[in-house]
Amino acid sequence: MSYIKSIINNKAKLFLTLIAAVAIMAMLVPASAGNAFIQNMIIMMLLWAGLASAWNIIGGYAGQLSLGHAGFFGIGAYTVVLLAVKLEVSPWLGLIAAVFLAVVAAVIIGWPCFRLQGPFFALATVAVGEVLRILAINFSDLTYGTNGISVKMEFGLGFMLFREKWAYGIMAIAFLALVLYAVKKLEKSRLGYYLVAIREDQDAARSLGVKASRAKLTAYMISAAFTAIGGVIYAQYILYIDPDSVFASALSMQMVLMTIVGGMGTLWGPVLGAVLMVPLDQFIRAYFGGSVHGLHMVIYAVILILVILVIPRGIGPTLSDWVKKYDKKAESEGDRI
Amino acid sequence: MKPILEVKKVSKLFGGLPAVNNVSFDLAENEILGLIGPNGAGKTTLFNLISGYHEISKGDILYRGHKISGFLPEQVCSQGIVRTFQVVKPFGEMTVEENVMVGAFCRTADPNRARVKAQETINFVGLDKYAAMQARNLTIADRKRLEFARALATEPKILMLDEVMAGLRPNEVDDSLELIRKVRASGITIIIVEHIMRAIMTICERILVLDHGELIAEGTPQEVTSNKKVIEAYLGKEESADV
Repeated sequence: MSYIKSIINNKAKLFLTLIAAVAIMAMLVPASAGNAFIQNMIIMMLLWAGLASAWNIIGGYAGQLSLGHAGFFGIGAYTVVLLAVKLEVSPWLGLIAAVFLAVVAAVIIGWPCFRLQGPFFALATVAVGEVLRILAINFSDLTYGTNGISVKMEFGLGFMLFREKWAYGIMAIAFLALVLYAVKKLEKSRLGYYLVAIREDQDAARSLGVKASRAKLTAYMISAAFTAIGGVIYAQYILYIDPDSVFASALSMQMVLMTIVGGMGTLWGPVLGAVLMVPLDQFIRAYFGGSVHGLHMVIYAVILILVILVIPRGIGPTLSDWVKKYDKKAESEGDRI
Repeated sequence: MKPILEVKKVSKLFGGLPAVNNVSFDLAENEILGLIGPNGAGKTTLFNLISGYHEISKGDILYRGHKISGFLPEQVCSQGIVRTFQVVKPFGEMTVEENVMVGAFCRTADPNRARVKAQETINFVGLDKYAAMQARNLTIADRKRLEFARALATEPKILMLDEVMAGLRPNEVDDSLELIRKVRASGITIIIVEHIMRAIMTICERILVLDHGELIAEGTPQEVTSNKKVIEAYLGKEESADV
């Protein structure tokens, strides 16, 4: 009973429980379990919520605009698939290798860039994301180039490959829960305070003893690690990867935009962004994609521009402000009676 | 007694132009030192040099006998020297308490201890009413207080205040002076840059006067205000006034 009470009192917990419940039901209830479209959408929603939350660590909390997170996503996907296909390494070990490589890449990009202030980091991330894509195309001996690679078809938990979609649903839920748990821990830690302070005013932060470049680098490494895990899950789910699907700059943009729409630097913002935008994207694609080539992109962009113009802080913080105002109003009215 | 801070023949050139030129002075433990001078005299530049924001062109800065010139701002702070900014820089999206916690984290990694320290400091500067308020909603006077509190939370030995009283009403200036005296009483050495003469004259034991990057006078408030060079720096020479 007390657990239920604590869930109702804690809006964040309530929200998470609702998402998990809806996702699990949609996976298991026969009516929708047969509907591959909805199942796929839910898995993508969870995966994107995790990816946007990972981006949020460096982009939202630390305020460092990374426009190349597809690089880490692609490193994750390629590492796990290549290791499995070429060396028959279990994807679970591949996952560890993927995380390691993504963290190394983050250090290589972040180490020189975080010493500088200004747009250098954002520019470097754009460049690195593109360079990785081009490398994946050109080093075709290793990566099979634009032909892409198919995941080896060996099913079972040991191979991280499943015939049933719900298993991927559980993997995506676990991924999202892991990222959110880490963000929640981060928010309450010294590093979390430091990141927000750096975002708000780096000079002031440094005058108070904040080792700014180290804090930013740590955040970038954590963010890269989680993004790589997302890439691994994606590869194991889609079963086929090529440079244009896992290193696409559009992937980087998606992580940024979902976080902005939902609310940067908040725990639930990126989740809200993914829950709203993944279905929106699929809906627009389904209804307008066929008629005029590229029309769905235009509509998507217009909706985004509207959201950013009307509520620049994102939907999450704006909504919670409304709720607070309403609560206050209700309270003061209650006093009058 | 050995000085806590020694500034030795420090110069800073911006593209060949000296903003601070061959300045030397000592800071005694637990004194309040005033730093005055007309606009553009190099007071803030000197602060930036001591706190590590600018690289020194020539000279040395010693803290308790060891060299700190060349340190990064965050290293200078962990040594125990902290500064405030003339243009206040609150972390706008954080609450007052969280702002001060960032300072307190300089000495502890534990959020609970940082919070306790922050609450103490907030009470000390008299911001307790606003602890839960977002910093961007504070008035200018309270923002200056917050700047003060954040710096204090790092447990400094030397506190450098850059115009913490500019733009305040007379009664708020009195509050600030009271606060500075309280801080000094707790054993902290203070360097203060200020344009409000009433404040500087009442609180400082010793005053340095900078003009065009050079140290032109040093002494007690009375000595400095009757110094001919200082009067010239502020008001111009008498001959030119006649013309």
